[in-house]
Amino acid sequence: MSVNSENAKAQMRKGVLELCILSILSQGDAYPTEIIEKLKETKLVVVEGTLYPLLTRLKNTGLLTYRWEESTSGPPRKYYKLTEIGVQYLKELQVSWEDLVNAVNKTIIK
Amino acid sequence: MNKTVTINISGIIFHIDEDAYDKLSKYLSTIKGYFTSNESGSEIIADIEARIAELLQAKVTPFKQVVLMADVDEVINALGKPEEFVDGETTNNTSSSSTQSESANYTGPIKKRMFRDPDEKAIGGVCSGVAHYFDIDVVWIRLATFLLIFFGGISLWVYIVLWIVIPEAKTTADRLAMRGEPVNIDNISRSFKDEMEGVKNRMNDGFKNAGHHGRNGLDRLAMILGGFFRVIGRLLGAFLIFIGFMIMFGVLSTVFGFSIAGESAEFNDWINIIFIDRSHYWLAFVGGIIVFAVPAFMILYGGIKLLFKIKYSNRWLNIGAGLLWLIGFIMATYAGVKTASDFSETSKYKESRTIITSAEVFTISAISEEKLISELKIEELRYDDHSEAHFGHDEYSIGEINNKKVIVGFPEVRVINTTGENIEVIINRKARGKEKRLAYDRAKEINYNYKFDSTGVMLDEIFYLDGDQKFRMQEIEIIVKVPKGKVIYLDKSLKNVIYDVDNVTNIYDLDMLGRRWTMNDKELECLDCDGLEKANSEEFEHSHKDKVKINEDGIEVNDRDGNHITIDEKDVNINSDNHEIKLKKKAKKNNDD
Repeated sequence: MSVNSENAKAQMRKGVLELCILSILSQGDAYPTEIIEKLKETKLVVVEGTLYPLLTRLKNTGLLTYRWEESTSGPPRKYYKLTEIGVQYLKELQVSWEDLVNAVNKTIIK
Repeated sequence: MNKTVTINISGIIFHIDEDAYDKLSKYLSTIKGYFTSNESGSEIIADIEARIAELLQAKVTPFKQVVLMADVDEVINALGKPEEFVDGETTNNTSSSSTQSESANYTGPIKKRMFRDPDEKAIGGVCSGVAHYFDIDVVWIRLATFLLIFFGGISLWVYIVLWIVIPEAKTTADRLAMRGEPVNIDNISRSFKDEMEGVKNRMNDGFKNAGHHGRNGLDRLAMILGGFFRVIGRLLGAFLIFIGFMIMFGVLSTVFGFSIAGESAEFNDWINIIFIDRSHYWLAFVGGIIVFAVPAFMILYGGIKLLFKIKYSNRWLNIGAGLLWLIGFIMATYAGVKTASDFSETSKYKESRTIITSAEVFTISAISEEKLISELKIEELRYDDHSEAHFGHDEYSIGEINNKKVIVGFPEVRVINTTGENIEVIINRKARGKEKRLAYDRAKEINYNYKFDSTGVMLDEIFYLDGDQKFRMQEIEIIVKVPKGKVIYLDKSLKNVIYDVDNVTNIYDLDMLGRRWTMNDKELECLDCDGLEKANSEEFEHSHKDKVKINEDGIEVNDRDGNHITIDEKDVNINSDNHEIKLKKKAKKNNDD
């Protein structure tokens, strides 16, 4: 049974990950490692690898852009930035997230 | 102490323990396996590699410069298993349980794939990539490539194809796959066997489990079919490479042939004479090459991809090839249609002479080509096979008068019956053009001479076109109309121009020469070909006699010397040179023997 609950948790995390990444980026440009750090603080990300396909997909759909920045201590970094569409999209997601939280809370309390 | 390996991850050099290296490389190739079907797979992999490099860098200090197994484990734990982080929306869900368990532990040798090596490249890294694939020193590949340039530039073409087909090793996973287990006959046959074995096993599994998992049945069927297609795919790949090479070779030898022919005066003459202008020739030539070369190239490309399992497709290459082909096709079609349209209409310029003669015999003869050539001062008339062109039954050649090109052709002479009183000689000049009018003008331009008097007509054996005229199927047809009862003599000098004259005895045109003929109601009748006529009529009789007769009586075979064989109900009878052999049938009872 424990396997199933893990699976459900992972699915939940996956569902909100997109919203979280966009929210983090709305506070300022960041490169994947920074995003991971923040997500790890909140235990939203268990494995880092999840992030990369997601970022690439968000970039491909036009919600994000990126620029390269040299790093003094490692490979060049990809700094991601929200696009206009991304900002718009985030707003919509936030609204529906609030609705969802309210709805879920009500359902659980009953 | 452990052996260490040096690797380059995302541009950063690491010294790494060999066992740690093995684990890391397998991890990377597994990740790669998950993302190859993803369009931006290589980008994701590059990002992940950058992260690995970052994480590993944190593990290395001036006091501990080597990456150890524990470090790699930590990195893998942080990043997670590939199957955990596949983004649901970009990659197909790997639903079947077998693939997950396969990839969870990173075992088995890395599958070797062909890549271009950007670290060891001279031009495009093709040679070094091939060298890695077959585990040969790159020097030999480069040397072979260089030497093969001198064999029709084969290696040049192959190099370009491979440059396009083989992807560059961009990520570390690529580099590892590039260097994996060398490919040789043993490995290929082993992997072929493995694949066949895999197909067999999956098929067995499929049948066993078909009942249990209704939904999985389709997946398994897909897997079994997939295995078959992989095996067939390799064979097909090899076949396509062969076909592609053959076409490419054909195209190359055509280009080679034409570039040699382009040096020769005859060839250039014909091009100038047939095509409207030089640019049309080039359009047709280049267009034609493109129309054949592009598909050959794409067949080669597809074949190499199939054979070496290169999972890489370049949309722009496909679009580019399609566009290029279309351009080539349009070029060739335009030049072809434009040139052909100048041949579309035929017109005839007719000249007729009535000859009133009291001579007993009217002689038709020809002035020989050799004599005319010297009279007309036609120089350099080239009679070798290259400069003589055949169009249908007509032959043409190119010569020069006062440094100007002339086209020389042979007229056709016919003799037919007329209801008129007198002999009539008709000269038809024919030519083709875009319009009737142009064709007519061209026909009029044909130079052709003949002389006649009351005893006969002397026809030139050749006609010619001067003044840089285009070749548009110019022809001369001479019709001699002979009234009934008139006697004509067909001179032997007509041997090159006489054409299909109807006559009573149906003898060949050439046999008609040097004899007198008289016109009957509709065709010529020979006056002095007794011997010939007889021989011919005999032949005629023989050829029409039943040599083999099969009917209800049996079989009868006869030859012209009177030998015969008959087989009928009663016996077999062979009668040859007065020897007779008879085989009588036995009584019915012993028939079986």
